[in-house]
Amino acid sequence: MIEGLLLGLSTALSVSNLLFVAAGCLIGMLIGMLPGLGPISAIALMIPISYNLEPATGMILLAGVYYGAIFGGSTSAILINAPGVAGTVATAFDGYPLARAGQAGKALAVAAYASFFGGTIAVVLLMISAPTLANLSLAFQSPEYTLMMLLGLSLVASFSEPGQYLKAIIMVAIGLCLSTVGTDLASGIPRFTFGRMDLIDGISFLMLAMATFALTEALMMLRTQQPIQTAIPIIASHALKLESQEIRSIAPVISRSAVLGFLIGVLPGAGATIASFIAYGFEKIVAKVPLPPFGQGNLKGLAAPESANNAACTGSFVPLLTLGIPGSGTTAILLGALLAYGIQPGPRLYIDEPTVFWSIIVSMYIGNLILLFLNLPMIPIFAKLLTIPRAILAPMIIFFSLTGVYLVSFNLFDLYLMIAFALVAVWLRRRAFPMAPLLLGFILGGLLEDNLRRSLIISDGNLSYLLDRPISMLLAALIVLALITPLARKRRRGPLNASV
Amino acid sequence: MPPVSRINFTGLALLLFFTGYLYIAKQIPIDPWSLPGDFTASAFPYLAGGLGFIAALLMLLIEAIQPTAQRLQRAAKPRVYLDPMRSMVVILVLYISLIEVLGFVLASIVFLIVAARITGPIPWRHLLPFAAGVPLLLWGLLDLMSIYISPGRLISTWLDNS
Repeated sequence: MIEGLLLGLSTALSVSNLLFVAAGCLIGMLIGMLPGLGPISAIALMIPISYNLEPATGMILLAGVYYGAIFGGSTSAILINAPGVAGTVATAFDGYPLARAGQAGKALAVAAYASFFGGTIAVVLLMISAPTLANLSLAFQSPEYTLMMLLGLSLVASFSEPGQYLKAIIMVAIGLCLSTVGTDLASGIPRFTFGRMDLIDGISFLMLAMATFALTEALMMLRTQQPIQTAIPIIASHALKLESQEIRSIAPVISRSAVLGFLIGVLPGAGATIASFIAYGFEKIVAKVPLPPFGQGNLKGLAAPESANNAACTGSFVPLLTLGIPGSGTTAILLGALLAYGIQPGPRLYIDEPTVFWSIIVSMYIGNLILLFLNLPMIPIFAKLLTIPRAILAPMIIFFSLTGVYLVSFNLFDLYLMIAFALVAVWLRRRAFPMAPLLLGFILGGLLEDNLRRSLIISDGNLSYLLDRPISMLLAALIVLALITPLARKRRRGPLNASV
Repeated sequence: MPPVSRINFTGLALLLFFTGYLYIAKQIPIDPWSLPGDFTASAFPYLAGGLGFIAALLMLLIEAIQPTAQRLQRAAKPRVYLDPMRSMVVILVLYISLIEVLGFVLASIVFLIVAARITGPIPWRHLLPFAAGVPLLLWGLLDLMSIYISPGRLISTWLDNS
């Protein structure tokens, strides 16, 4: 491994490769900031350029674009509550309230540090455990996936305020219902499409996230009838320094979330979005008495999803490089790029193409470092976005959220649907219904249905098959723990808040 | 007669939503080759809709047994003035319908100008560079990425004729 690492270092640290990884990070970050243009668009844009490069250099460039795009998505999530990519939706939960409280600079700095350290821990894990984890990921079959999705759903209590659990469950149910819109993949039967071709492919996650977060936020901003300058006090938005107490509180969160995110990222199909949601939920469960509460600008609530989504991106390279299985749309494009170079990813990659294998791994670390150095000086500039007058900021948020959805499908029906969802979301938010569980239900719904169906087909309808193996039993125990812990804690703290 | 609180109406609306969802789920055709007890296309919708239905029903019941004082207190909350939001929604619908006619760039410029004017007072010299600059910059970026944006029916017709 040491020889391989040195080989990777010598390749990745050449001046040209350093320039390519820096350019990739910058381009990815700028594209990722625009809602709708996520890592897939950014990598697709760079593929023609990468074909003219050496395989190692080309892959280094594309890996840089991937990280940059994910980080760019966090910036727009924090500043204007418009997550650029699905993996950064959870970043907005605490990042945006921090920005609204005048701490945009600190929020962006925490995101940068969490991404860097999360990515770094994940790279180390990738180096030492890639082949073992690749085999473990193959042990994950439909019952384990079903239970993992149920574990994600059981974290719903973490996404709701005390006394609002029923509302959170209702929102999860709505999310699950919306995930069933479109063609049923197993039977090919259209469901809830009302005869419209526009709904045949289902509802887009990006559209739902934009409608319930960015567009709703902009419409609520108009409702407040206040100038934005008074709604968002810009107190030291340039302050990037964290207090030692803050560092001490977020350091373990970043480490835990990085490991969790990496492990989830290794599983094909899971990805950065699920990793960030689960890391956020987990931190909310283990936090004792968080101040400020989660969802209102808690630094841990920002550090956890940021660290997890970056680590999950690194984790998704494990099945790609060691088994040749792309775990997500982005890694599928990267697989295409590898194949175009004539490189076959798989168990023999690090024997047949050690330069490519190790330089990708080393460039991941360098990419994280470059992202940190690129971002810290730019944070004050990004944070100044919030000083833009409301008359410009609100239409800008609306414009970018609509554009993000339009650019994905070029379908005007999606935009009308988005407005309808935003209006319902405003109505529900005014009645204290949380939006995060809706997205959680929507993300997990499709995967849950798929894996539950597969498990039941394999077992001939026998539900006990779900608990037949050690990993699934462990996951079931975690589900019980996730459901019991908040209730037990509430019991210790005192009687339930009266509201539903 | 006790006042109908806002949460009652919300709970009722949600209950109706889930009932409607379950009703439509019942209409989903079943594969001709599936056997009774199979996990069909309507199985998961039943689970999701059932969960929502039970939760919404529970919400209605809990609300019904809550003390009247609490309900009255909630009902006494001041109503929020919604006019700018309504105007924005109307403008949004108009903007979307204009995209096909004027094209994305022109429609966006018009939208940004009108939306900014109804959101608050802003001098034209600040408004115009932003309203024209942002869509044009985005168009330039998309063009660089070889993403085609239709110029709209109006400009296409004008270009065809000239």
